[in-house]
This record gives sequence, structure tokens and C-alpha cells, in this order.
Amino acid sequence: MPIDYSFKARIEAALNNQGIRNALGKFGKDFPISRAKVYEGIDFEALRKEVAKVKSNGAAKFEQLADQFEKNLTNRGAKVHRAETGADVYQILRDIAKARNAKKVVKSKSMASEEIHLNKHVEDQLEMIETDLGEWIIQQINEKPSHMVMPAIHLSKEKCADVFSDALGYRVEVDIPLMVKLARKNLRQEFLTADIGISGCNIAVAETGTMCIFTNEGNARLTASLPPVHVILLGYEKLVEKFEDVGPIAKALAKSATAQPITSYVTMISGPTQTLDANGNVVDKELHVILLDNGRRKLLTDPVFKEAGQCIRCGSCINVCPVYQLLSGHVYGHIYPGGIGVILTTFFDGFEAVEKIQDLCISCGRCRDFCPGKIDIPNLILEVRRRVRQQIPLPGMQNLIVGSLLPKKGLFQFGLRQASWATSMFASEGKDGKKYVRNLPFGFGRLADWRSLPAFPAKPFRERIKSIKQNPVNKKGKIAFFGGCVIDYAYPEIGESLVRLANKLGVEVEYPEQSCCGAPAFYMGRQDVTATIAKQNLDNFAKDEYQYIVTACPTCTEVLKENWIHVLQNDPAAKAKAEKVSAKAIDAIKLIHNLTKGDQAAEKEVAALSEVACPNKVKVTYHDSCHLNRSLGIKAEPREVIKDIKNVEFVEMVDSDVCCGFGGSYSIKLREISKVMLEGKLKNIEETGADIVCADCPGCIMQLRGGLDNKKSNIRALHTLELLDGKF
Amino acid sequence: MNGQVIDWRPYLPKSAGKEELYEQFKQKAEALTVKVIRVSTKEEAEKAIVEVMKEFNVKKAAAAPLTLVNSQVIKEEAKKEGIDLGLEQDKDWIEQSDFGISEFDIGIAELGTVVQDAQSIHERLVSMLPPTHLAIIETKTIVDTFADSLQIIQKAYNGNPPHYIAYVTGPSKTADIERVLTIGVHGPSKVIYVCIG
Ligand code: SF4
Ligand code: SF4
Repeated sequence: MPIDYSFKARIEAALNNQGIRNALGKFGKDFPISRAKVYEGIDFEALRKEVAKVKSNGAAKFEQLADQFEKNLTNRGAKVHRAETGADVYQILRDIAKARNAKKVVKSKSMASEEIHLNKHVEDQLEMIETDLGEWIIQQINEKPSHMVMPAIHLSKEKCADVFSDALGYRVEVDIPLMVKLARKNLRQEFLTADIGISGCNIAVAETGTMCIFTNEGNARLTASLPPVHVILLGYEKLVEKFEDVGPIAKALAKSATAQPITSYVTMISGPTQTLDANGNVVDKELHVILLDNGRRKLLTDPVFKEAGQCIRCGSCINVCPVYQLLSGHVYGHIYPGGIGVILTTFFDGFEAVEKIQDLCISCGRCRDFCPGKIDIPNLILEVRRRVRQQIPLPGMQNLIVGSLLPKKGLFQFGLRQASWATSMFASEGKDGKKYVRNLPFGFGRLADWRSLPAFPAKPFRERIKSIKQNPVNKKGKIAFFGGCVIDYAYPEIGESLVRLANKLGVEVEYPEQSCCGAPAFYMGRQDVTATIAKQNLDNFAKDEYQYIVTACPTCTEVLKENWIHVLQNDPAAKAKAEKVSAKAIDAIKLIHNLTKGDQAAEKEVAALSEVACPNKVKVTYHDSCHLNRSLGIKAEPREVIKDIKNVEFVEMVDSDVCCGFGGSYSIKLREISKVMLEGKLKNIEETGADIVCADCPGCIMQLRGGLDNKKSNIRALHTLELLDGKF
Repeated sequence: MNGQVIDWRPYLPKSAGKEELYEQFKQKAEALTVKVIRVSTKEEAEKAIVEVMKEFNVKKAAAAPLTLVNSQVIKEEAKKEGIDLGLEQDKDWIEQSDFGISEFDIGIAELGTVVQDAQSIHERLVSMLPPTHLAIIETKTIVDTFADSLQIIQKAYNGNPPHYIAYVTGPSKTADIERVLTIGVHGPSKVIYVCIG
């Protein structure tokens, strides 16, 4: 039996398991490449739109489709059962077995059966034999699958050979083809003598009563064909309306799951067939179909979470998740790992089950780009977090900070200011001339021992702007700058660079009275606090005189563009203002790109500026900040702007779009994970041989600078605005 | 059960069987290690099938009922080579065979897939149990896409599909141990397509 580790201990154990880390890390690197290859020539956006359409249609009408599906199958001679819970499934299966005195069951892969721990609950009556190779291996050692598609990905071939040796009673060599052969030989006998076959199914078509099963090994075909009884266990979310709806799902499933064009076998079962009995006589088979609820009805009828009904269980969101890659499925502790796992587990096992694991998502959004069901996974996780926090409040201190300090403007700013003198006591200069805090007294040491923290300057940007003399060249207009906490209090010089650049481009910058954007509260599940904060800011920004509302922090930009509207949904007057702000909100790098591209004079201005400050050649690489790249879709613009600077040699790094591990409070709460993500990022940066790494998010800058200072690296991390401003 | 055997050919789209579809079909299948053999007549097919069995050193083989070739001819020719071809629906025989032969209704060019109404247990056993499987199709039945195959099935069965349809795309495989692709788990490790016409 697995030891009941605490959550943090499980994380530590996984991070220290170099074997799993290597396997998943390699897979994480290989998968996007092979996946891109198999999707070559296919319009993925169009395809996933189609998938989302047929799946959301299925989810919207699932009750009606279930009835139609049941009717069709019943008319064809199958028996359809409805199971509300796992316990119902156990009973249905026991009854089916009892009626024919069945003892031996061969199972082909079914996540639904894993989810309800079917084997464990019927073992006293039935011998349950997993036939999917990976499932068989983990069944032998009593483990749970660690991945939806590759259940034994966490085991090395040496470990697998041990499992084979134990199961077969003789020493099996560490030879994968040999093990596969042995599995074939041994399991073939089980297939030929089994009384019942159980499988899952990937798609269920209501109009024809067809169930489609996708497999590579061929075990589902044997499961469906050889034993006299076939039981198919499926959840309501598998239902689609029309036979043709199979098309887009089939096109995407294997490509997204294992980067194959299609699985070796697609089996479509629409009713009972025949088999041969022990004497070789043709006999009619029994076909039982069990429709499982176990929380699915609630999920599919939830106004927000019904979106998760678009999932086709390809697992690609898990494959690309930088957090999963470090932890493997077992840290998630339930059957469905990764981001989508958090969402499904919420409904299958309840909010308590996900209280801790929902925090694992750093909201980087990478999974969303890959999802063939077009599900906004991080957004649904935030909704899980919000609902979790309604039922289980944040631990005392965090709740106090988020709930009481953040919404009180004066108090919050006072607190940040105090940070200036508090940090100054421990600060010293780094290689780049900036001030860092490297060790903290009392119990706070672990916050800074892997990543130096910035020392907060005495004067925040809100003070500094007052003394900047603005002199826009050929004044074209006026923008409002939303600084955000990090720039305001930690990196005011980024704000100063913005003002200088804007002035060069003929734009005057105003800094209206403002507080935090509310993102920290939002990402901690306290959207109510974000709403309060939004309202403190709206009046000062929703003014006609501003052409743009500019930020230099993409998280703030996203909050201004989307989240304020979302949290103010029930307050029409405030929402109207939020919409006004949203329409004008723009990230600084995008604005500079807009202003300079096609405007040669302006382009020259910017180039000239950096040329002066950059007389020698420098090598620059670029880190894509998650919110800039994915949420705002800004990827090419900063590169184009940087490449235009004279004397800059631009080089791409590997995985430039993988999260650096900052994630705001994430890097404090789950610093173990944040630290390892940062290590991976720094390694990729170092490998480019660049002198400078640029990013457009002050959070990423804080993370990267902190890591580089900790390593005493010569590489400098700069906000792109600072590079453009020649501040290096 | 629905049971009726329906000819899919009247429901093929116009483009079916075009030369470029065959080329694509062949290329996709070969990428999956499938051996693709093209012949122009029934007689050539019969000959080719015996040749392949010889090449694979087959001793015992099984075939489902065949319509595109004459299974008696194959049986007799094979016998001369010391190959015992069983035509019966005999589970033990099929299980012990090194080679299975069956016909498929259509091919899919974009995937290198073959598709079959597999309601008959005989059809299924022959393609599942032996370590090598040979699928015969007519080149003119190769369609462009997976979606085309769905349409054909919908039309041919008037919205009432047969109880078991099998799509086969190359050999059985797994990557469950260390993601190393290994062929031939529960199904055939070697697949051969013979395309007639
Ligand atoms: S948003 Fe990022 S961290 Fe969260 S589940 Fe998706 S990939 Fe993983
Ligand atoms: S959420 Fe999307 S990417 Fe993840 S398993 Fe489901 S369909 Fe695949």
C-alpha cells in the first residue's frame, strides 16, 4: 500500500525522483515536436472548433441523447444500465456475473473503471485481469495509473522487468520486445478463457447507438470479441449526437494523445454480435452498456464547468504541463492528473479532494493552446479555486492579507512602502548593479535562498513620475499608465523607461491614482476582492482623454482587459466602465510595436536611442511570459522590436514559451516547484550564450533576475522596455 | 443482430480509387511498416498471397470467406508449398495459425487504414489472433478521408450501422514501457495489404 504522504512530502518525493523527472522531462520535450509533425497540413484551430462543437452539443443535450442512445441499443438487443455511483456499477457487474456464474474478467483500458476503483470492489467475486500492457504492469504492483494515456510512464524498463519476473515466477531480462511478447503469450490464454470482457469507450453516438473504441494494442478487440459477455462502461460525457460527429474527434484523438495519425484499431460496436463457445459453436454474445454518472451530471449541467464536457481525454494538456512534467501523476493523488484532472476530480470526488492539488496549476495557459477540445483549462481551475475557497477558506494569514489588506488601498500601499526599509536592511548589490536581498532572518530564509529578491527602492514609481519632466516630441496624444505593484514598488525604473520611450514617440504619460490590479486575489480564488479593487481604479481610468491605458505587466493587462469585466458581471454600472477600460487596455510592447512599425521616423527614434546606449554588440534572447504570449497573443511583436535594435544579435532559446515558475504567490506557496521550473528556464537561457534575456513581465524579470543573481551569473535579465531605453 | 451483409461499393464517393489516393494510401501504410502489394487481377492476387506466405515461412494459415479471390485456389497452391490453409471458422485452428487472410470493404488514403464490416466472428478472429494478417481490398474502394468512410457506412446501412465495424491501421503496437514503440502486442505484429485493381 502506498504511504499516505502529506501533500508537500509527495511533492518533495516527486521532485527528488530523478528517474521520473528524466522520463517525463524527455517526454515533455519530445511530445510537442512529434505532435506538431503529425498535425502538419491540418488546420488545428478549425479542427478543434469542430471538436468543441460536437462535444459541447453532446454535453448540452446529454440527457436526451442518453435516452436516444439507450433506446437504439435496447432495440438492437443490448442491455443498457444506468449507474449513479461506483457502487451501482459494482452491483450491476456482480449481477451480470452471477446470472452466468462468471468468474474471470478481462479488462481493456477504462478510465471510468479506474475512477471508481472497480477491481478492488468486485475482487471477492471476480478475477479482474487488466490486459492493456501498462495497466497490467501497474496492476501487478498495486499502483494507480500516473497518466491517462500512458499509465505506467513513471516506471523504468528495469522496474517493469522486475514486475514481469515476479508475475511469471522466473527472471525476465530487461528487454522491452521480450516483455511485450511475454505479455502477449500470457494474456492470450486469459482472453481465450475469460467469461466477461470489460472495456471503456471513447465516443458514444446517440443516433445509432454506436460505441467507438480506440486502441493500439488490440486488446479491446479481443475483449469485445472472445468472451461471451461484453460490458462497456462509459460516462455521459462520451455522448455525441450524430454518427458523423465521430469524424472530428477521431481526427484529433490519436494525434493529440500520442502524436499518431490514428490508433491501430478503431472498433465501432452498435449492438451484440456472436462468438464461439468452448465447443466451437457460434453463440450470441451478451452486450451490456453501463452509463455512469458519478458527478458527471453535475459537471455537464454546471454553467461554467460544462465546458469540461468537451474533453476527449487525449491527455495532451498533461503532456505539456510544466508542473506535471516535474511531478508525475501520483502527486495529484487521483486518477485523472494534471489540469483537466483537477477539474474532473472536483466533480468525481468532491471539492475536498482537490483543495490542495488545485494550487499546483500556475496558470501558465500552455495546456489551453494544445487542447483539441478547446477548453480553457486554467480558467476552469481558477473557478475550482474560487469555489474551493468559498467552502474551505485560505489559511489564516493568507486570507487576512488577501481579504483585508489588499482591498484597503492605503494600508496595502503602506505595507509595500515598509517593505522598502525592511528589505534595505538586508540588501546588497548584485553583478548587474541592482540591489538584492539574498538571505532573510528568522524563518523566512527559504524565500530567498534559491532566488534573490529585489530590494524595494525608497521611492516608488508613483513618487518618481512627479519629478519626470515630460517632453513628448510632436505630441500625438496622452496615455494612462497602469503600473501594477511590481513596477510601482520594486522596479520603478521600468516605468521610467516607458515614459522616456513614450515621449520619444510623441506620447505623454499620465499616472492616475491607482492601486493593485487585483490579480493576486483573483488567482487565489478571491474574485470578490478583485471586484472591490477594480472599483477603486475604474473611475480614474475610464476617462475619454486617454487614448490607451498602458501597462508593462501582461498580468495586469489581462486583468484590465478581461477579468475586471468578469468579476463585475453583476454590477452593470461598474461593468460598463470596466468595458471602457478593457477596450483601451494595451500592453506596452504591443503599443510600441504599433507605433513604430510602419512609422519609419518613430522606428528610427527608438533605434537611435538604443544605439547610443548600445555601442557594442550584444546577444539577446527572449523569454515569452505566459500571460503575454498566451492570454494576449503577443509573441512576434517583442522579437520584431528587439531585432530592430542596432548591435543586437537575437537568438531563440529552447522552450521560450515555457513558464519560468514565477506565478505570483505560487513561487512562495509552492516554492519547491517554482525553483525547479526556474532552474530549467535558466539552463535554456544559458545554453543560448546570450548576454541578456528580455521579457515583458516584471514578475518574470523578478524570477529571472533572482535566479541569475543567486547563480552569480553574468547574464542580465531586462524588461524589453529597459533594453529599448538603453538601460544596460 | 443485424446480420445482413451489404456491399459498400455503390456508396463510394466519385473520387474513390483515384491513383493519387492509392499512392497516399500506400505511403501512409508503409510508414507504419505495412507491406503493400498491388496486383491487377484476381489470379495475380491469389498468386501473390501464396508468395507472401512462402516468404514469411508460413506453415499454418487461416482465411475468412473470400469473394475477391478464390480461396480454394489459394488453398491448393499453398498446399504445394507445404502451407496448410484452413477455411473453417475454427477458433483453435485460427489461434494456432501464423497467418490470417481476410477482405476489407474500403481503404482510407489519408491514414493507410482498411475498414470492414466485422460482424462475423470469423472475420474478426482471422485478423486478430495470428501474428501476421493479410488484408485484401480493391484499389477502387480507397477513399480520401476518415470522414468519407463514415458517410459510406451511414448511406450503406441507412443510418443503422452493423453491430461491429473494424478499422485497422497497421500492426498492433504499444509504447507503454518507457515510451519505446514496440509492435505486436495483442494483435498482429505484421500486416500486409493486397490491393486488387
Ligand atoms: S495552466 Fe499551466 S500549470 Fe496550469 S494546468 Fe495548464 S499547463 Fe499546467
Ligand atoms: S482537456 Fe483537452 S487536452 Fe486535456 S485531455 Fe481533455 S481534450 Fe485532451
